[in-house]
Amino acid sequence: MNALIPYYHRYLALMKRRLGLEPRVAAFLLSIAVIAGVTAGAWIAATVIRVTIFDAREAVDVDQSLACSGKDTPFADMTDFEVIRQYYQLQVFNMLNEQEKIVLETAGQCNAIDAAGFLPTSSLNGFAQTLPGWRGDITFASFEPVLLEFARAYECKLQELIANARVTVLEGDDLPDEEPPETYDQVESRVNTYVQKLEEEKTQSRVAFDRTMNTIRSFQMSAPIIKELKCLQLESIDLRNAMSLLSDASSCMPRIWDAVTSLHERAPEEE
Amino acid sequence: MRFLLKPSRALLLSAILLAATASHASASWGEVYFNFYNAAKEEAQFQSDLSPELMEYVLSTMNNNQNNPMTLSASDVQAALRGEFFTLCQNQSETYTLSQCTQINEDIRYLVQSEKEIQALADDLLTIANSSELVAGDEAHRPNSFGVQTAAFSVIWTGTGASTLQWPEDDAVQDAWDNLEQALQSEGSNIEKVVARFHFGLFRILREEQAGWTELEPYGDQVRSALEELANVLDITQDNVGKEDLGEYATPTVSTVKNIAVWAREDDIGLNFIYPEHQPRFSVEIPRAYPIYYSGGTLTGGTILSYPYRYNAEELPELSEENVRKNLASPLCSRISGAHGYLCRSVEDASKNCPTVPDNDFAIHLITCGERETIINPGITVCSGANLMSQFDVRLNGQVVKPAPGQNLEVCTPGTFTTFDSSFVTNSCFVGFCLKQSFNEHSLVGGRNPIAVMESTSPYLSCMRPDPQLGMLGELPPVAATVLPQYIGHFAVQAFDHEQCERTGSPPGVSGVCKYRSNRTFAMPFLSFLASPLNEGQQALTDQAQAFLKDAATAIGQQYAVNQAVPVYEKLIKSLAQGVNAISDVILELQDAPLSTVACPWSGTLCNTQCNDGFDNDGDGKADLEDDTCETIQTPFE
Repeated sequence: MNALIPYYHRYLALMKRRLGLEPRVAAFLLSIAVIAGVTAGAWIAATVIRVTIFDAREAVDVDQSLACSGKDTPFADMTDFEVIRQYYQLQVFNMLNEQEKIVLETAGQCNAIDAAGFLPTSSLNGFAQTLPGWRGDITFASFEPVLLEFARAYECKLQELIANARVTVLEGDDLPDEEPPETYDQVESRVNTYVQKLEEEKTQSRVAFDRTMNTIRSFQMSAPIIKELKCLQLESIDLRNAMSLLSDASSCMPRIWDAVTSLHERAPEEE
Repeated sequence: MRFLLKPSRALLLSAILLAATASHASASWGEVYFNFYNAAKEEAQFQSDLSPELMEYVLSTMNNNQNNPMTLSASDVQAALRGEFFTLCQNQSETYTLSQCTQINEDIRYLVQSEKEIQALADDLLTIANSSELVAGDEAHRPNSFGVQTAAFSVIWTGTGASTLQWPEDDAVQDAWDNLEQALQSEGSNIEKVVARFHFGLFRILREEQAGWTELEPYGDQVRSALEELANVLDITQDNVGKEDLGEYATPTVSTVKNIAVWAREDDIGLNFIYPEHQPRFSVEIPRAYPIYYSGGTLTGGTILSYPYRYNAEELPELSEENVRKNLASPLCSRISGAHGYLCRSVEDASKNCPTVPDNDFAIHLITCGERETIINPGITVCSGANLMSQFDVRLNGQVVKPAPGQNLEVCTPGTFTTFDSSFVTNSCFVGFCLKQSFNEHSLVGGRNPIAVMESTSPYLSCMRPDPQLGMLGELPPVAATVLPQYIGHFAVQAFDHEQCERTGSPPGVSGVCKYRSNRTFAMPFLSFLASPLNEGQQALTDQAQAFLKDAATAIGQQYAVNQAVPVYEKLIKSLAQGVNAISDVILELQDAPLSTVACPWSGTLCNTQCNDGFDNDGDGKADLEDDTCETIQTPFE
């Protein structure tokens, strides 16, 4: 539509300069006005569908048969609970913030021909590759499933830590700042504390994950359609401006009400 | 003759678009995660500190329970939570048996556990509702709101609809704003309750408090006076309640507290959370005292689920019926977009639409009565709508020119000064008015008016070929009418009701409310459980109730809000896109329209019947009756 604006400026200037002198210009103006009038009445009429809405709820292709462990996941080589927890939280934090940018700030590619071109997926693709359970293509709608798979990997890693709790405590790795336990009582007590901490983290992180996903869900789901709306808004503003130029032009019509054109000279008896 | 855009409205549009694209004043999504994570700690860890409200509840419940012989204090409760029941018993003045101590210790733990589950459930329900509704709401600073987006469309195309007002840039407003930001910051941990108090509006809550509903009154006095000051400098007054076309201010971002926004309409001002994260509880009470099934002191079933605190202000005797309607009507319907939504429309009494049957007719008639809605399609009469006409201000020699009923605005009279809001429709109508006036006031003379003769055919008027452009610009849409998916919200409620009744053993209600039957033990399993938290054997029931509530609420919440809104919007937007793209095509084609210097060239066969009219249509110097063969001719101007 931007190409239209100089076009109309050109014609407006033309009309101002030539109005009354060159009636065909006025005739052209009038025909534009007629078109505009017809258009106003028939603006609902349409032939082109440009809005593309894609399904944000597609099926997830995750390998369910994988054993629940940290094997092959980003947590594979980590053993310290605090390190694992912080790594997980940082990843989730970054991925959420990136997605927020995509959903709330990044504009849709208004002239895209398909959904993949309309919205970016950013680093989600590379991230999904680090998860052994993830199968399938990455689209904008993959965000929640990929993060859910990451959360599953994290919980499996916590489960692995729970299974190995006794070994961890015997080696003193549960409390690196303290001496390893020396009596059975100490071992049992520290195993209990350590496992309880892991169980609490499992609960706490899952609650936080579910509620966060619920909170952003409506924004996620509606992001494509709202971005399309914004594209349509821009197009509408262009049209509104073009139409305002037309109405400006049509206000010159009284000047041509009695135009005598060079083509249609009045015959002497008509005078 | 000139026409201008009204400057104020031009600002409105830029403001509304600004609001539509403004960055949000909220915690980032990553921070939202950590907020939830920290809040969930209390749920995951049994020994965490109790909120003052919960502690008060535990103490009053335990100390008023006849099965408990002890008089407990807060430190006793904390000891019980730590599992130190010996400490619990040692603190007492009397001596108790081990089994008594154990029992009371367990009761306290069980009571706290139950309340924590309730809180967790409430927060779960809140986020489940968020998952479907946040984007559909039109509260301030909510990113990507459908309401704001569609309001902008309304302004661009028709110049009407909800207006966004620009935030005034003056010192008084700035001072009041700074004051409010500081007041919000100083609320500290009370902020959730303060936001809840002013969520639906300062004037609204003051009216309710004046009427005797004072549960929230202790919270946020400083914020209250800051809001009053701000309302004062912005000329926001409750006198505007019920005014048509209320404007909403594009409020600034709150910089001192995260995740909280200020909304300001011409009739009220208030606060809201951008991402609601937690359901605050003002006082913890046994469920009999909660409003959902509380009315006039008895459990009868109620209507309001949205308030986390006692909200039975509709029963306050001080309020007249009119005031109840005006002041205490559903908060949803006081919102700008919400007021126009499906749930807030008033439905005409169906019986009014029944065809009448003569009294003396004794035949059996099968008649259909039903709600009828009038759908107004935009058409050629679009420019005469009262709403649209009010946007035009036409003056001749300083005097307002008002058309008589049925007449058009004479915007094109030389010397006329016309102002109007610039929207697509108003601009089109201006062109239309001008055209119509031209044709009305200027007689068309063959051969004189270029548009009437298509510039080319004069003097060959009588044998026009069909207009080659006829119908090209006004094509019928491929989809003639947009059929929206049926609104199924009420079916969802019916399904929920049915499910609930099946589980409680009650008959389904006819109007969407399950009939309460007191001869059943578990009319509302989760509530009756709460009513007697010390009963043994309720755990299974709790689990069942929670599972049920979660499943049902998830099903309803996730399936019927955004999930339903998106397909509806999809239909609407596709239809809109068709229209917009078609107009784009027409206007873009003008680019390629050459400025003709000759009459339109064409070649073709003149048809027999029309040619033989006695005139010399083909210009060969003979009347057509004489040379009655139709020839293929070339346009003489080519």
